[in-house]
Amino acid sequence: MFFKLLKFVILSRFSKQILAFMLVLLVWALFISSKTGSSSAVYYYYGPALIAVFLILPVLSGGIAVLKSDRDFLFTLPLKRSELALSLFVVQMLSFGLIIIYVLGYSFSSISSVLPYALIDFIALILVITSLGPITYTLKLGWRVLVAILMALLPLSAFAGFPFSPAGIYTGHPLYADITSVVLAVITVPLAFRSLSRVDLDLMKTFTRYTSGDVKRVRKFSGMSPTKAIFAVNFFIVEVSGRMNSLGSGGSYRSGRFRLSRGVLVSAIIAGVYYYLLTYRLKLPLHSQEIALFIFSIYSVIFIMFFTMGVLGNERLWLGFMTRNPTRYLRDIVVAKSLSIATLLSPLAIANFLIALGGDEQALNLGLFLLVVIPSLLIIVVYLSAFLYPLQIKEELSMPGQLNLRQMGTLLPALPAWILVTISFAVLENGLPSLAILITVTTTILFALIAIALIYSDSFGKRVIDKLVTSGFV
Amino acid sequence: MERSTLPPSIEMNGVSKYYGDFQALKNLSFKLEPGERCALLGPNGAGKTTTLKILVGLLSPSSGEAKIGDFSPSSEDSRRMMGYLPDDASPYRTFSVRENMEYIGALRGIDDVSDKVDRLLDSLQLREYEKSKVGRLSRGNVQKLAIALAIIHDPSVLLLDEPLNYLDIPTQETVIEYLKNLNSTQLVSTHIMEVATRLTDKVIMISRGTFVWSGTLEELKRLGKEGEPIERIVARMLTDVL
Repeated sequence: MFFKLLKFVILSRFSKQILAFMLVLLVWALFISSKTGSSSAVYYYYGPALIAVFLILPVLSGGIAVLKSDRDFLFTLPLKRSELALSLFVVQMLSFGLIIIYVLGYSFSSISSVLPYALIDFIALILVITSLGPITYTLKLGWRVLVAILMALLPLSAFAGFPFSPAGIYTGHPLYADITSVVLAVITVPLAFRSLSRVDLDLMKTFTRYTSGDVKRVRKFSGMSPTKAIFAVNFFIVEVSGRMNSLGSGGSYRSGRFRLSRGVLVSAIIAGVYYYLLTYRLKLPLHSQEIALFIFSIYSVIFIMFFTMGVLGNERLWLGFMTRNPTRYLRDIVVAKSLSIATLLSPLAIANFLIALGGDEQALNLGLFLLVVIPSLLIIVVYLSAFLYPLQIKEELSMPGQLNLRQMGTLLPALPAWILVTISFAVLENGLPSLAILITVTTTILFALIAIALIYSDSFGKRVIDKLVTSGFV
Repeated sequence: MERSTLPPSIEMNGVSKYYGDFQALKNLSFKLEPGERCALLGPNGAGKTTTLKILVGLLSPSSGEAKIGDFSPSSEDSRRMMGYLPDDASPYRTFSVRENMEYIGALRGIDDVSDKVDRLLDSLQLREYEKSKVGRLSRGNVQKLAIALAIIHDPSVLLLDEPLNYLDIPTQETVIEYLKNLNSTQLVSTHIMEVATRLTDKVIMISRGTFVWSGTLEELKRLGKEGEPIERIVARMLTDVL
């Protein structure tokens, strides 16, 4: 019975194709890792930083992979609580574990000399990270932020030479790292099971208690023209929506918003630190620095995908689209959001341009990538996702549906960008900076032109609207 | 609220609609004269929602023509005149109640959005929820907000899909009064005969995408036997078609 239940719970959340695809990504990560070699110093930063990110994410986003149909049907069935809890835990582990192995896979070659320790460390960490979501999802935000800070400090303490950091695997303390990770797993896993075994009872309570109620500051639209109102919503406010952590944190849908001005302030501080570190502090060998920038390019695309998920998912055809020509409305909101992202990323782009002036051509690549390619990608992804996987979000805190490969297909527009950045990186590696810059500039212009062509094509816009309507958008 | 001019008519002329190979509407024709209030009745899958989506310009007919007054439903002119409430309407979930109303009011080009929003908040008993995020509201209050958003610009054409769903009885009465006082042509899609009789004077019946019958409620009642409930008459007419 348990295995039937487990199979049902897994396949109701993941298609077989996406599970296979994740394995392909893992092999790809290991392949890249073997190519970049173990000498690169960049993994000294990459590993602990990513472990910190993965420990923070489940705490802040919380949640359990719950479908609406689970609440309505599965949880009401006379199933053994322990079997249900184990099934939900395995699903959590799949949603988090696969992506963790994938991103940390890039660093495997750098820790090949301590591989048995690394495997124990990673398995224990996956158990910890999987457990943190179910444990913390009932905590109030303040407590979750506190736990998140503590969790982040643990891996980052490796930089200060603390041996008992779970990221100590990267800093020459593999045994101590294993001890810490295993102890954390022994504490967190039973707590997670306890939480999961009463999920049906707790869930509704959590929904009513912890969903945010009132908005702190009501936005005023009185006296605004329609275009100004669209910009007030889509430019000056940044909305991040989607399944947190791409596949993970239970895959539940969340959305949040912040003012662009605040975002730019944070972005400027990060850009300042970034500029200082890369110019004065981190005297990385050029090769490592390029890998760092390359990895940053890759992950910045994934990060930006979060800004695209809510663009259509949160829209309402019967409201905004009814107030003016729907294709024009779609164009206006997408352009506003794209400009918003460009503004948000502009301090980081400027920092890269300044670094490029110091002689690092790869930073010029990254600057253009942040300022033009990513905002253009947002437009391209929004339009194409309407065809590949149109999904309207009608309810938060539950998975809107099964995770499948078609949904991942919305990332396809990023593929040419990744390939061109990789080529540019490779060309630069071979000592041809002017050719690398030419490839980067061409990539930038190409993506900007595709984005402009999409937003000004009325026929394509109409097809997008038709697709949304026939896909059940209201 | 009262307009001196006559509201526009609503018209479908030989409209067919295909979704791939599936034909949802088959040569459907009907007309609502200016100011008429009409119920669109039909069993599940009859094509009511498709009809409404074509009339509001969100879907294009595969053949035939839909008109709002003298305009195509997708024209700017007809959009300005129309108010639309879909079935299971969901406003912007990350906005508060007031933000939803002010945003749509601004997009509709209403000059005194704030005043208009205040009036609707009070008349639909939404005042205490004006700062609440939509995701936090009960289904009934979401429906009240959805109705407010559909009528915020005093539309002269209203297309409503099950407008009284989820509403408590006092709010139903408020909404019925409000809708009856609007100087507009109204097409109300519903399964519930009581909603049809309270909100409209005329009925259009469709089944499997084709026109079945049209007439006033009085004419419909006369089709039945003495004392026969109107629901049974409608059920018999629709079953005869199936």
